[in-house]
Amino acid sequence: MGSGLLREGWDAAIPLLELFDIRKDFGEGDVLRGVSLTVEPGEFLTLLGPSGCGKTTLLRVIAGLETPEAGRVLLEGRDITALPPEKRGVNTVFQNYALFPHMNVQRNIAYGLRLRGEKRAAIREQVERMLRLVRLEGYGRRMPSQLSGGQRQRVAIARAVALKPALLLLDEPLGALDLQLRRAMQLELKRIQKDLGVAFVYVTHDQEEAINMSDRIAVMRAGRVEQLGTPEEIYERPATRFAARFIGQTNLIPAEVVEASGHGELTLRAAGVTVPACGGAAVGDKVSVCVRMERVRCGAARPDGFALRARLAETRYAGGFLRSTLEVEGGLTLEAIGQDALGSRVGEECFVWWDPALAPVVPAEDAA
Amino acid sequence: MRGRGRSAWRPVILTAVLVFLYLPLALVALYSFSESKVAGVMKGFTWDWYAKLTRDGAMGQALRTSLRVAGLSCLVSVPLATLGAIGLAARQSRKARFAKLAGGVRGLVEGVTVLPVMLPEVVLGMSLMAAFSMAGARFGIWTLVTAHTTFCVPYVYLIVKSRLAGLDPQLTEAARDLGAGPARAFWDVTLPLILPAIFSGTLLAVAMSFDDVIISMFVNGAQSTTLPLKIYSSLRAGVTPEINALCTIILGVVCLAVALSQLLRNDKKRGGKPDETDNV
Amino acid sequence: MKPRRDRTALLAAPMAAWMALFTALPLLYILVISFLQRDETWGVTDILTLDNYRRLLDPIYIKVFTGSIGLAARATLLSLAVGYPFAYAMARAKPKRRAALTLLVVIPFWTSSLMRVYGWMILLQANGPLNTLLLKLGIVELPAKLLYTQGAALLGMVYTLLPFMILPCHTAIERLDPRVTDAARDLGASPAKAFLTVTLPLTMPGIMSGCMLVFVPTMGLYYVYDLLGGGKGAILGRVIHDQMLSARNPPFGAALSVALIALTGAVVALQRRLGGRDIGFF
Repeated sequence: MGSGLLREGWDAAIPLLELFDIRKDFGEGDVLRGVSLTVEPGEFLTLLGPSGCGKTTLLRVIAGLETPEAGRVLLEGRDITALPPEKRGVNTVFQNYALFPHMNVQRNIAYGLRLRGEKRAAIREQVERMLRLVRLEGYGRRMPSQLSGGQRQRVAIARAVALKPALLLLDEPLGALDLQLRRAMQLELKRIQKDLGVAFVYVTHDQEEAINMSDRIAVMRAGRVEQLGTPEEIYERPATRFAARFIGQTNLIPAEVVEASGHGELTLRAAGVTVPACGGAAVGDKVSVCVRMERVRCGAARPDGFALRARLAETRYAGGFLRSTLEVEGGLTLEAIGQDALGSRVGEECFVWWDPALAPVVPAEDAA
Repeated sequence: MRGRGRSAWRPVILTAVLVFLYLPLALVALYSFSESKVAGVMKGFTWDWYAKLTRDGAMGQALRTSLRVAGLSCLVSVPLATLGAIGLAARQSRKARFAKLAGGVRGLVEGVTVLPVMLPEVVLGMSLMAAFSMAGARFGIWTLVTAHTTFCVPYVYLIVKSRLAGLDPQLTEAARDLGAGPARAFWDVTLPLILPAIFSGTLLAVAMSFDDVIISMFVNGAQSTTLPLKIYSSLRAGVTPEINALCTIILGVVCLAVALSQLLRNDKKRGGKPDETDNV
Repeated sequence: MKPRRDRTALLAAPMAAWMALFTALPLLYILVISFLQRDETWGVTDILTLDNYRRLLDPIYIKVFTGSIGLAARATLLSLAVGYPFAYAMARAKPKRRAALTLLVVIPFWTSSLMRVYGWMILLQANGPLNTLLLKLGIVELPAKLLYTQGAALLGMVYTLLPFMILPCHTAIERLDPRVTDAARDLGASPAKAFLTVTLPLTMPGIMSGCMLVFVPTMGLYYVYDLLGGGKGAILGRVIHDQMLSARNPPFGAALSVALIALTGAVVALQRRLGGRDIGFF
């Protein structure tokens, strides 16, 4: 079924969507300060960031609902910057679904097809196919007000993909759902995306959602893309303090590079102790060492190689795992999470260490 | 409904005020069936006053004038006000330079439009009368229609505006996104959703026009007496059971109209912004 | 950059033109003629004068003004005293009941105001039901004069305008989160104290709106005043009416109207000052 909906015949060399230096200063939305991006066919790209970072505005620029003051939007190589939304061939799943309250589910899904002037039989067939796709067979005659939040969500998706867009834009589509439903819908959305082979640009502020679903994530802050990469890249090699903090739970240790091997191995001076890390930095650079909480190791016996003396100050149960606070020599405080109590009891002296290859450095200051 | 004990005064005040509001109306209806010539004395039961009313040529003439004035002023005021509300609700130009100017013009237009709601009727009536005399207009049905249109516009405008403001802007955006041009999106989405407001605005305009005494008093002509003016002059002469019958009929019609408008208003809940409470 | 937006705004042009022509312009016109001398027949000359305004200071008209303001103030306070508790009880009723009550308050507002006044004329007349009742109960020996009194006029005003007090108060009380009163009680306030320190200040915008919606029309609703008060004394609306239609003195009528507009403006300004924004009546 899914393959029938696939868009065929594009040149693989041309990205599906290209954004060049999109800027926006006025208007009710947030500002954009020069955003450039590409989206490949069939890709799931997430715009991730806190509220006010410009991610929704960027999505609206792609949809044609906002006009940028500068920059260009190219879809399949064609400049669509000045095109109104109805002429773009890009469809959107809106944040609050925006189902037409005066039309039933069928008529909502058929709306775009009817505007396109398709034959009645073809419309009916496509509507049925869409209802099957989102698993809402038999709900066609319901009014939106008679549906639950999750069902409305599915109708909104069906309505948007009924037109077989090459690119689907989703604006925090799961934001209004409760946690259980949100997790289920994440899988559901991923399945639909795979079935249809359509590219998604997905806006969210939920890092878990972004990591679970995306092929690539664009971490946004204050109208700029802070880092663009696969979930793994962003997790393992954050580019900035902001990216490091926004995804995962992280210790950021301010430090200065004292030795750089040239192979990415670094030795740094932090609060009276010497610590190892990895990444590209020169001697004398002020950086932050990014140590993921689950990668902080601790034990009563000193291991071979790098370790710091510490005292286990506090341990808290955090649902399935423990979160510990460690007071490290030199006045450093580290947070650690793990399955067990790190082999020490509260108040006891212990040793703390981490794998330097999993502790990247990021610049000490984020650009304003 | 909530944990707190119910206060005894609440049912008392509710009942007392409702009796206060409805007792006079009920009396009018009751005495319209009394055989006594003296209004206010209940004796027997008769339809005579209704029969007599239908034979009263002057009353019939006044009723026809009122209906014509109400109909015509709705015909003008509802489209004017609806388009006005849509126009003023349109998004402003985003260029900072123009935004200020556009905002100023918008504020001015809105201010003048809702002015009749704030002004005492007598002021609007006398100023229209003075202006019509200056312009040399002949007082009659057209001055009535013009005046009624003028005081109906703000009410229709306010009702349609509040509905438009309550609409989720994402709905039209969704229509645009699915391939509708601006006009098509308006026709398919905005219009059906504001239609109930337009209807209730129309009903209100009819009711206001039909009830108006003061403004009509200033702008009517010798040949164009509206029903309220006719009733007013009879009432100044004293009370007659015929008026009771007439008022009872009006009351019946109004109850029907209110029921109808209420049905339409319940429709209003649809298509609102999420988490937006209806404050109408 | 999108020209369609600018064109949409143009849809408001006919309405703007109409209201400019039939509201703004007439008001400007009466402002102008209020400074002109009266013509002997009906109309105005082009001689500038301040006589019309000087005449407003005549004790007769001063009395009209103070009388009208006094009546309006009494009608407003009375409406508030009746309307606020009613609105409160209404807002705290169950939703279904509340919808029905709202409807019941609105229906009289839709019926002819003359008809409602007429109901009171029947009720209060010398041989009317109220007098019959009073006689039967032995409270009065002879039929009391109820109709054509100042009291009856005041009652008529309150009766006609009560929905305008109830509805904004109701909106304000309904919007008030009942938990804030609960919080006040929880913190040790007595019910009366909680009402005075929390409920009342928070519903002030509704009260102010209601007061304005009752106060302003009262000065103009002269037909209610005439029919129930018997035309004794005079309120501002009646005087303006007479200057235009009987005395045929438009410039003086205009000056009276300008004074009434100024008074209305002052009341609106006061309301904005005390109560903040408009509360949704529509």
